[in-house]
Order: sequence, then structure tokens, then C-alpha cells
Amino acid sequence: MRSAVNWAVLGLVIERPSYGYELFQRLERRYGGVLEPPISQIYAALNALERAELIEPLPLEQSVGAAEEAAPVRRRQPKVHYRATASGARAFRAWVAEGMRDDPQHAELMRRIAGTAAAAGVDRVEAMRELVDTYERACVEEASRLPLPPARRAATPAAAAGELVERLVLAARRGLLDSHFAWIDYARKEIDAFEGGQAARTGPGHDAADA
Amino acid sequence: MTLLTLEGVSKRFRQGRREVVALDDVSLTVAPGELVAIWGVSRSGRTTLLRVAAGLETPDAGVVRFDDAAVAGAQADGVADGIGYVQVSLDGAGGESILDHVAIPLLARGVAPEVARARAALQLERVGAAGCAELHPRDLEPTQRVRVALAQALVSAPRLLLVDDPTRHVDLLEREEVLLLVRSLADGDVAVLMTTGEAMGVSGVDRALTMSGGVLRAEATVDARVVPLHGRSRAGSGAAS
Repeated sequence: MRSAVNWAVLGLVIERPSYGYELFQRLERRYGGVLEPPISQIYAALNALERAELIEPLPLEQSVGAAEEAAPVRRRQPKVHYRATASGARAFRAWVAEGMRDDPQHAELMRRIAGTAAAAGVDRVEAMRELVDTYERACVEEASRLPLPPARRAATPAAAAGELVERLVLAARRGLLDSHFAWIDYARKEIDAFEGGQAARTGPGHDAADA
Repeated sequence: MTLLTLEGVSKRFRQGRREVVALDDVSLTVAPGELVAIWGVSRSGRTTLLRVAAGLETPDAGVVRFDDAAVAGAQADGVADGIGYVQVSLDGAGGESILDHVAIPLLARGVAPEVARARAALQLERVGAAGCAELHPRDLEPTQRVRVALAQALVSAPRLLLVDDPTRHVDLLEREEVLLLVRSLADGDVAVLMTTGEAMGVSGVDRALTMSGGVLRAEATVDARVVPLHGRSRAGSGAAS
């Protein structure tokens, strides 16, 4: 799924079940100036997300306002509310985590993942572990795709300067990846220690040797 | 086709009263000529993985196969045939000169000294360390140590090299040369399984994995269509079967 609108709509549906027009308004408030799709694109996104089984319609009686819709006085088309499926929530977290490595605001993204996980009823620690795994995959993919620096063998001063620039650019990207890897290692140890602490508080069964 | 296979390999060590899980149900394959890097911090289990693959340690569970034959662990006479285990540390290096040191594996097999030295000289040249032949092991720079260690592993004509963090003590500006050398060995059809603790060690490999807590975590296979640097072709270096 490549469309940013689709991901944005999915994120909003995860926060709370919603219907087309309301999503249009929430998206405008949240992403105004960055994403401004026409409402038709919101419906297209809902269709695409439903086809991919990332969201599903709520039964009508659970849709907010359904009782009012059913009132005999003015019959209107009932609004179909959508909620995220478990795989939708998982896909969203993975998508945000993959984007983290390129995003200087990555701490902020992490909070959003934890927030959407809590809203979707997923354990936040589990969501963080999932995030670390996905993030690690994204980082190792990028690291393995980075070429080794060009050899220092340029024939002219201008070409040598060009090589130097490329070497420094590559070094900057590698440096970032090294810091991401260090964070991944740290995060995993923190999560293990946290879960170890929780298990110790809730009773036996924790194998300290596995830490 | 697969050269090295690890299936469900686990290994625990006792550290005082604590039991440490060094490898936890690790499965991995390496194909002929493939360059595979494992990123992990020290104590992630990465060195144990190489030692088990070499046959220097016996796993508590699981199977290690090299060239379709089971690798026996804790072999008294060193690593399994066809495998070169690269120890960068030259502590306890034998011989008065680097040439002798590199020739030792051949001498140990009864190869005549002059033949062993000639073959050692060839391998030193292959790794760009011909100038070190007459030096004493203690006189080597860190980069030369890596080259010499590779030469000593190559002298027995292995089909798989196990290389533990080759750039660890190497000067920042010389690390890429070490990695390019490892890459060229894989391009010359020696499969390489290497550990690394930095992003640079993962650059330009055919396949990269990460390891922590004795578990292999993420894996990335570099698309063969990626245009390589320096005009190097990787078309023939497919992923493990």
C-alpha cells in the first residue's frame, strides 16, 4: 500500500471507529496543509483498506448514531462506521516503524505507535517489541543496501573531491544507522528487563537465565 | 545449493551461577560464494555462532552441516575440513616470521616446509600483505593482522571462511579496505560468514542478519539487480537455497 492517504485513514480508524465524512474532517484537522484529499479519496481509501482486510465495517447497531438513524421520522442512509482489524493495527505499526529510520521526529512516531496500540487494545509493551523488530529489519535492509565507500583512486583533484563528498555522505548515513542499531539493542534490553520485572512481581515462572 | 546449514542450534554456557543462552534455536544457511554478515554487539551470541559452525563448539541442540556432512563439535584437531576460521588476534602466533605463521596449518599436515612457505607467500600476496612476510607477528598493524589472519585461513584452500568482526580494531579509514578484501574473496567463490558490530560491516554484502540475545532477528537479502559499486557484478551470488 503506497498511498499516504490510505495510511492516514487507517491510523485515524485505529484511534476510534469512524465513518467517511467524519474521517474527512478529522484528516483535515490533523493533516491540514500536508494531506488535503477530496472526500472521494477518503471513500476510495476506505474501500481499499476494507479489500485488504485492514478495516471492517461495524455492525450497524454498533455504529454511533445508528439508533437515531433508525428513527421513523426522517430516514437517512445509515452511516457505516469502520474499525481496524488486528492485521490493520499490526500493518499500521509496522509502517510507522519502517518510516522511523528516515524521520528525525522518530521519538514522536514512537509515542504515536504506543498511543494507537493502546487505542486498539494492544499491549503497549508488545507493540514496542514489534516496533523494535520492524525497525531493526528496516535498518539492516538499508545498511546492506549502502555501498562500501568509493576507493581513493581518482585521477584528478576534482574527481578526488567528488569521491570525498560521496564518502562523507555515506559515512553520515552509516553513522545514523549505527546509532539506530545501538538504540535497538538498548530498547530490547529495556523491554526484557521490564518484562522480567513484571514477571517477578506477578509470580514465579520467569527464567532469569534467559534475560 | 547450500554449503553450510545450521538447524535449530542452541548453546548455553554457565557463568558462575548463571546460565547464559548464547544461541537459541538458530537456523541459517550459507550458499557457495555467498557473503553473509551478521550484525550484533559483543555478547550477542555472534562469536559462538561462528565457533559452532566451525566445529569448535558442540551445540546443546540442533545440527550443523557443511557440504552435506554433519560437523562434529569440539574437534580436537581444530575446524572442520573445508572451513577456515579467521582469528584476528595473533596472540600465541607461531613462527618467527609472518610467512612461517601463515604456513603453520600446512606444516601441521605434513606439507614440505618449502612448499608450505611458497603457498603461504601466495596467500599473503592475495590479501595484499606480501610486504609482511618477513615481519615478526608482534610488529603488525591492526589492518595487517586481519590480512595475515585471512591469509592463514586461506592457505588450506577453504570453501567457507568464518570471520569474526574483522574491522574491530582496525583504524576507521582502513576498515573499508578490509571489507572490500572480504568482498573480493567471496567474489572469488569462497563463501564468507562474517560478524560485525557496525553498519559498515553490513554494506555491500549479499545477505545481512541481525543477532541479539542468541537469536537471529532480522534478515535482508540484497537484490541482485542493485547496481554494485566499482563495476563489481553480483549476478552470480544468489541467496541461499
